[in-house]
Amino acid sequence: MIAVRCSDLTKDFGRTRALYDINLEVEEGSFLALLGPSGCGKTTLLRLIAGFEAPDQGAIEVAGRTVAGPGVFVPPEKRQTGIVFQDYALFPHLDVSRNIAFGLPKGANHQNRIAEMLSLVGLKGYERRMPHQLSGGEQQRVALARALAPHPTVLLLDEPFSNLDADLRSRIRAEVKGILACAGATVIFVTHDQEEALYMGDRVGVMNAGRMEQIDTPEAIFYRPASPFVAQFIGVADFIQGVVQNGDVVTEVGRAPLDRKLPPGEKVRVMLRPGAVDIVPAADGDGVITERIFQGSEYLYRVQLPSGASIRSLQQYSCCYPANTRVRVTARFDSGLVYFSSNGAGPKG
Amino acid sequence: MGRGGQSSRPPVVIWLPAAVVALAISLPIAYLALRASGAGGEVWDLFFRTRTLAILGRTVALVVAVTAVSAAISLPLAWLTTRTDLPWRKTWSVLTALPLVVPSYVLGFAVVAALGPRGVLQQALGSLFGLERLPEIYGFPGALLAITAVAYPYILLTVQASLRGLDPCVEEVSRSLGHGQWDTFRRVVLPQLRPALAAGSLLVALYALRDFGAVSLLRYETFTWAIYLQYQTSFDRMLAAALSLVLVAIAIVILIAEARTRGGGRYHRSAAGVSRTPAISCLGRWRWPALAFCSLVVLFALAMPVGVIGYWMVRGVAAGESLQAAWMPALNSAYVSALAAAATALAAVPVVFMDVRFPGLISRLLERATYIGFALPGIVIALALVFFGANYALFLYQTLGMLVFAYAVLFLPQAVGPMRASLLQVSPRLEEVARSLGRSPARVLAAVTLPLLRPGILAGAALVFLTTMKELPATLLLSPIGFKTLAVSIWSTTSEAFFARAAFPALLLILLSSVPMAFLVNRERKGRS
Repeated sequence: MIAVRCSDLTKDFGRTRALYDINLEVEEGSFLALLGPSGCGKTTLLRLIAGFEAPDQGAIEVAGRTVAGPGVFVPPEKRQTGIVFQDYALFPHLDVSRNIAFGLPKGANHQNRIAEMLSLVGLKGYERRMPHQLSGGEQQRVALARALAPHPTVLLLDEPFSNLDADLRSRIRAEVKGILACAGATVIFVTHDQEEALYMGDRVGVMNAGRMEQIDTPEAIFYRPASPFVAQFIGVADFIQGVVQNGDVVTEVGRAPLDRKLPPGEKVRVMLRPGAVDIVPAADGDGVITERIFQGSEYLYRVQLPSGASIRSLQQYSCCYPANTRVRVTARFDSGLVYFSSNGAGPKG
Repeated sequence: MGRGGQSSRPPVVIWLPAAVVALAISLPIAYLALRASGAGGEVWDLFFRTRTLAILGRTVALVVAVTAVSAAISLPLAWLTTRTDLPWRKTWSVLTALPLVVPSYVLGFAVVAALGPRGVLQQALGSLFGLERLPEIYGFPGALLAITAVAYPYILLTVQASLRGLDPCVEEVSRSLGHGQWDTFRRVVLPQLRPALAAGSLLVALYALRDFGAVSLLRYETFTWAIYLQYQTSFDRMLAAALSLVLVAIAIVILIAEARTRGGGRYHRSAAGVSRTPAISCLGRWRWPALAFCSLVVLFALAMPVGVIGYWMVRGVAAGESLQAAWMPALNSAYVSALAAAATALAAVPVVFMDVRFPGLISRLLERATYIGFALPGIVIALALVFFGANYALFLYQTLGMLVFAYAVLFLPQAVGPMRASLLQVSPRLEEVARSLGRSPARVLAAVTLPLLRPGILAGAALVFLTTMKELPATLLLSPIGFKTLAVSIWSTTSEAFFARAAFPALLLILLSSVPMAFLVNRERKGRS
């Protein structure tokens, strides 16, 4: 079943357009990560789904019911969407158990549900604590418990880990993923951290300047990016020119078969990941190492090609070459050839 | 991006009351301007009469002198109490700030009763040396002494705060570059204190300009007293209105200057978050003159009024003066102050909501309108309401309602301040979370926003209560017949030189004001920890 569906969503703030024709579907029980640089519109999209903003065009469905669209606007309190903000937004005047009970129907006995939520997030015995007595990680788990307690159709997380220190973040991330999986929750979360998106998301939506560039599995996003922006935003990518010849694309670092027919002589931009570029020192090599960056277990080399293009290559720490070494450069296309049209518009491949 | 939250259109339950409040508080000044403009060319003649110019000269002289003396006292005091090893530094810091709660007419009373013709000093000297006359205390010297003693803490507190906020690294860099302690203070510290000094000075200037109690008791004719005399003696309303407008114009000039210094001259510490305690200067032998200086200030601004009140109380009781007479005014003061606090806090709520949650041009205008109370001296508001009531709303004239309304116009900014700070701390995210958890906007207001706003509402109300207790000119002009407050009792008995009768009301006033004061100080301390 589809928990959330957005169709052709558009949102303007004054004269600036924050979102252009956003389409997405989230399966019940799955995680969607919305990834993009700050100002790309991902938080706005989240706020539209929650009902804190109204779209200018398009429609939003939650659990099959239209909650926003032409002539329809369901206020946030009637949408059954839980939300966890970056700063957690715990009610400072209420203790942990009252925070968790806040969204539960009035009058009923909530002790069981509160106990259930507290054991889910591992905070048994914290019922009477006030928010200011909790650490950042504990506050976050209370915020999660509060959002999950009323059984929301979808849980929305806005940059949930950006307030935590780096070493705490990876631990909390794993914990939260476990808690949410255990609760069987449907989750949409917003982040600007690609590592976080790839780790948490069953699917990742990459956004840029108000547009959804691609929604796909983390693997597909990495290996088959739909646009140069996605290629460069997820991992490291360089682009060099290739020319179509006899059904292949020929570049100065190797050739690879095309998966579709293109007119011979057409120029394309070919994506190269540093991990798929090999260099071997050779006196007659075409490339010259211009920079060596030590990264612990690996070296990242910057290599200048005869055409003037600069690409990067990742080598094991045992392959240590000084700058200005001449090298033979070869690219491997075994995980698929990714290329875009030369003018940068419209992805191919 | 629209991350401010919520739709930008405010609901009618918020904007309508806010608009009503803004309209109501603009009423007095609008009416006054109308009155004066209706008079036509005559008003210009009034402005340029020699008498008007003399009043202007006296007012400016007082304002400048009070501000200069206050700055001269406050700068060394601030440094001594924050950056030196002055003995009992914390105690001095509290004692030197305390005169802020003493109303100017209580200090005026103390000055007259201590240094005046039949005062304590003259009596003592008279019995010892047969001295008949002391140098004249009425007029400029008395007014300068009395107002400076109660107003200088405005500069002291702002400069102290600024000194505490300075980045000590900057001073250390200066020392490492070969500048001595004094050179560093002059070339590095002092320039950084300039914004605070300017802001505090302008507050003091405004205080001196608006003061009515001290200048009237010490018979120094500045605008406020001249307006009152005009109103009392000749009922020449046009002249009173014209003088009021000049006074308002000067007040607005000072306010604009104050806003400028606050906006422009802010200095930031160079490293964010890193805060170290600055080096403490050793006073060495200099601590004796420093102690003498602190003692002198506290002696005059605090010990003298308290001592004079005590002395005249003992004398009054010994002479069979009844204390009973003060209870009714005390009750009246507390009653009308509580009414004013409640009404003003209530009026502030919609204004604050508009300003914080629905920012925009209209909200800004509404918020600015509430500052009318800062610009208008109490005597002006009172006069405008007297005219208005006598001409158009006789049923309101000299009622408690009119008096409370005047207080609300005067003190709305004081209620808005803490409430605004409180609401700014309530993140809109809290309200959004509550909405997403199934609560309607009205229930979010009741369950989340108002409980979190309560400290701000209470602080605003306490502040209004405190200032209403001390308010004199509006109370004097607008009180219903027979309704006497502590402020009015102190003022009227002092001006008739019944010092013994003024002492007990003054004591009660200080005691009653210290209740909300203690609440506010306690809150401040809790907020810091």
